[in-house]
Amino acid sequence: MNDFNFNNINNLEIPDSWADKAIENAKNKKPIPVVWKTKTLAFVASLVLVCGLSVMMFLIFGRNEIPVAPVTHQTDVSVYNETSESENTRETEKSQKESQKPTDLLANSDETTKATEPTEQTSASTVKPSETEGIISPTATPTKPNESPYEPTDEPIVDDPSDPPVVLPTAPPTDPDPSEPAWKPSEPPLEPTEPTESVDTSNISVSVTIYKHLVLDDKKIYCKVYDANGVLLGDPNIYSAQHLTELSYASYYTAYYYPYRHSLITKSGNYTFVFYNSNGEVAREITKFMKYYP
Amino acid sequence: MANTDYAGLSFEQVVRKYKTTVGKVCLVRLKNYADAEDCFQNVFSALYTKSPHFNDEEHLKAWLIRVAINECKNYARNNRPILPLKDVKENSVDFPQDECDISWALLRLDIKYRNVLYLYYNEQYKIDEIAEILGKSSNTVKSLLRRGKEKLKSIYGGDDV
Repeated sequence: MNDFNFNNINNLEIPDSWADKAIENAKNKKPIPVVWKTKTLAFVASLVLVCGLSVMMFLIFGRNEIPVAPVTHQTDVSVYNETSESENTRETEKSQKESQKPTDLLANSDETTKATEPTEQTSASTVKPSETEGIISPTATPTKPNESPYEPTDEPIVDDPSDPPVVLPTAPPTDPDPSEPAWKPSEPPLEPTEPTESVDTSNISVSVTIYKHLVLDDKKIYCKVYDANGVLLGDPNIYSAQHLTELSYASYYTAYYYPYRHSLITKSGNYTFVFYNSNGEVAREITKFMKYYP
Repeated sequence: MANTDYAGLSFEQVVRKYKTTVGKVCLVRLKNYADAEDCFQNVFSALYTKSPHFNDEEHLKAWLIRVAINECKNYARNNRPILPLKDVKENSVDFPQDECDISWALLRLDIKYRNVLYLYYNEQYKIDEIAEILGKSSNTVKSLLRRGKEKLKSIYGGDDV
């Protein structure tokens, strides 16, 4: 470090007046108060905290994808192939879809109370299904076959005296029977027993909603029925009157098809109902369990 | 008066002890007594008002030198000499040309080399310490030192830079 001689610089004298002046000036100055520094630190700290919280909130809530349940369009519009293989395949898929439906209420026609359920949609016919899609609505009460069609009234339904006695609780149970579940799910029996009472099946309909753009100017929607084996039931002319549905419109189109009127249901089981317009475009397709009524 | 919290020294003690160091840095930098005094006052004024915390006296000294260099840089940038030439000459720092003492040659170097050489030879700082004071990397300081020596030799060797 002593390569060079800088003695002149080393020997430079700094006047004492400079130091005295510096000390004197310091007396007239006020040091920056600690409070101000604390405030600055607090301000910076709060900024950092807010920014950090914002980032955390974004990471926690902003990046979470809202889980969206896959939309299961059970009534997807699709071109239907009339080959038996595709029918069976599609029927199987539709059966699976239908089994996932939360409502499968009308498999038992013994539930007479369903005849008085409030309707949610208007229709041109006297029959008003309780639900919109693919619901079989036995709106008729257990009556004799030769009676007039059912008309909805506000009066309670009175059981026919010829009906088998129905066990009704005479008094409200004080203690629930633990052996029996509080709620018995109504599942369709695999082998339903033959109903002992006669049911007016002519008013039992299968109804679906139809997209507006699939309803052509002729306002005709047809329905063809396939049994569990994929065999087309009824008239092979799929545009005949046998396949014509009743179309009603409120805020949307609803097509009603009455399979029992055409004696298409010959045995209890799953049937596929395909609704289509005059151009053959499939509007809806559902598979439902249909009960046979002799 | 400020508290005795400058590495255990009071403000007055710090001024008395380090006035030479700060003063020389200002003089070597500005080569003018009047300007150097202004910067000198600013350095200790900053020390008093900001009252930073120092771990030890070396830390304090390094802080004073760094602030002095920055004050001189700002002073030179913001203040153009408005004194008459005669007054400038009277206040200027200059040394006679001497073959042995090359302080005069140091004052003729560029400021970037001058700082490094002064701190290295006069204040006896190491390269890492100089790098920390000047806020540069050690490699930069080494490079400046090497080039400064070469230029210094070229100056006092008779070649004007």
